[in-house]
Amino acid sequence: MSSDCMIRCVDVGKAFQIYDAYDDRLWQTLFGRYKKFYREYWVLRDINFEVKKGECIGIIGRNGAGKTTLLQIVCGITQPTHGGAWTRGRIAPVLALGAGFDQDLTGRENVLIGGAILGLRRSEIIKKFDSIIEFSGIGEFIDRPVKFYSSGMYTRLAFSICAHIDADILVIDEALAVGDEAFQAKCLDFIKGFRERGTVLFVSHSLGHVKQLCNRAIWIDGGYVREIGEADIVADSYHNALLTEKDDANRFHVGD
Amino acid sequence: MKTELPTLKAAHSRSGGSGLTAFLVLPFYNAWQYRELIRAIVWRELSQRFRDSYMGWAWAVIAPVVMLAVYVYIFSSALNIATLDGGTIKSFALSTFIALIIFNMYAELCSRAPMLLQEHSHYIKKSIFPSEVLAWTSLLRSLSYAGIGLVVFLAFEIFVTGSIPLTALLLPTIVLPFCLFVLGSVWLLAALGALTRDVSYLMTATIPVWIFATPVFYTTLNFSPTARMLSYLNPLTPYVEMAREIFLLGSMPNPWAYLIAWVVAVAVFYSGYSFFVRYRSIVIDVL
Repeated sequence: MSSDCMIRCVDVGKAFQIYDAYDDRLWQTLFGRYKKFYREYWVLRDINFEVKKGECIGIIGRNGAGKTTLLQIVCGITQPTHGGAWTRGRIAPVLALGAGFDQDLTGRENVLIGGAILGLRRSEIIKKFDSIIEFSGIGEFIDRPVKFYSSGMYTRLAFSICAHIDADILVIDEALAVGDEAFQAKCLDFIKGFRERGTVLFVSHSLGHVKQLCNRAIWIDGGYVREIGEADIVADSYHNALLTEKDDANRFHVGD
Repeated sequence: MKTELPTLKAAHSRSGGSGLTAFLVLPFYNAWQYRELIRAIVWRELSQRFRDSYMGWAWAVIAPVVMLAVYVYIFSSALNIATLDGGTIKSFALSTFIALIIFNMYAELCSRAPMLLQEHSHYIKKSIFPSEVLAWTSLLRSLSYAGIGLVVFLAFEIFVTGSIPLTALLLPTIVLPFCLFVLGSVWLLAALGALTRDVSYLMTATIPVWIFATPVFYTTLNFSPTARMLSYLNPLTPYVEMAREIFLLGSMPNPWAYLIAWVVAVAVFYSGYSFFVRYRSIVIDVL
């Protein structure tokens, strides 16, 4: 409970509402306080952890374990059904592919809007433009609509924006998976450097990256924290579990 | 435990306190906070609209000019309709045109609002995006088109009548409540529209009817007082009548219309905002 805590999650739980009939959602919105019209699907349960300044936490787990939802809760994009999440300072989210680009806009326009969403002034973004383009390495494609980008270029630009906003917390979700080796190395270097001034939350299926970057790791399994601790140890036991536990057919089921 | 960490902020909470003053100020405070974002989005929408066309922004002027020309032609030759205060056919065209500027602006916003959050779901789901700014950006975008229409209207009025009444300077006092009314409506429709697609279809079905419930092609100025009060049940009626009063008749806006407009505007604004804020977290999960 030290004072340099940057992220704190207390008893975080998230239940999605599953509706059997389409119009039930409307009834729930209007009359939800009188009757329940949905079934609950808990994607996250009892998540407790703290991240201190300068830490890099890896979040690992199989598809559908709730990793992305956890990141969305930390970022404040979605609200936890139970418990709470607290953060300190500015968050830079590199969520999935592309951090929410508008397909019809050029890379340059997306940088302007993406920067504004993250809370930068127009003048600040323009000042950093050259540096953003250089880091992304997409050259003159910056003035082409992003719908013509390859997925690698997409990720490069998205990561590049987030690398330039002087964030306190960097949240990365699978973003590096599509970049080539050279760009991955550049990002890993950046993340390592970033740890000296900020905090990183890092979701990846690449256990190598997790071991290389993170000091601690959280293994999420079926919505619960299965193991939390030193990155090397957690990554190894996750890896072992993957070898023994098979990929069963009904992993994504709606429980009560 | 929480007291140890005063600067830790709950991740999902947006700024703001409690109490009546905070409630009243909050929508404006948030909009001011996100002004850079609002500017960036409005700028993008305006520059994008006519991007792949040769004529570009000329279309924004051509459309209202063509509309006005058609009305003048129809009302001066094809139809024979009793005109506003015994005025001329041309003033009938003008009075229809100013009403259409208001009606079209509101109708366009209402038909787009239910899909607003879906259209921007890439921002809302993938980044930390204050979705309430979308109402402000919609308002500013449509205000700029309405502004172009208004310039065309004023130019035509000078051309036809030779002058613009001084009362036209009262325009801001009418635009202000209209903006509040628009913002509240957009928030309400955006939240509802994300929950069910029906709102969108409802708008498509009702807007063509609504134009006849609004005094676009007629005026309520010669209605009986009771009928006139009834016509104010349509929240657009006071704005149409007031715009005609200040731009065409050169008189002060009807005080009753003005009062009703403000009361409705403030009520719609705050109820729309609190509805949107209350359902925002649910909406994000269903997008």
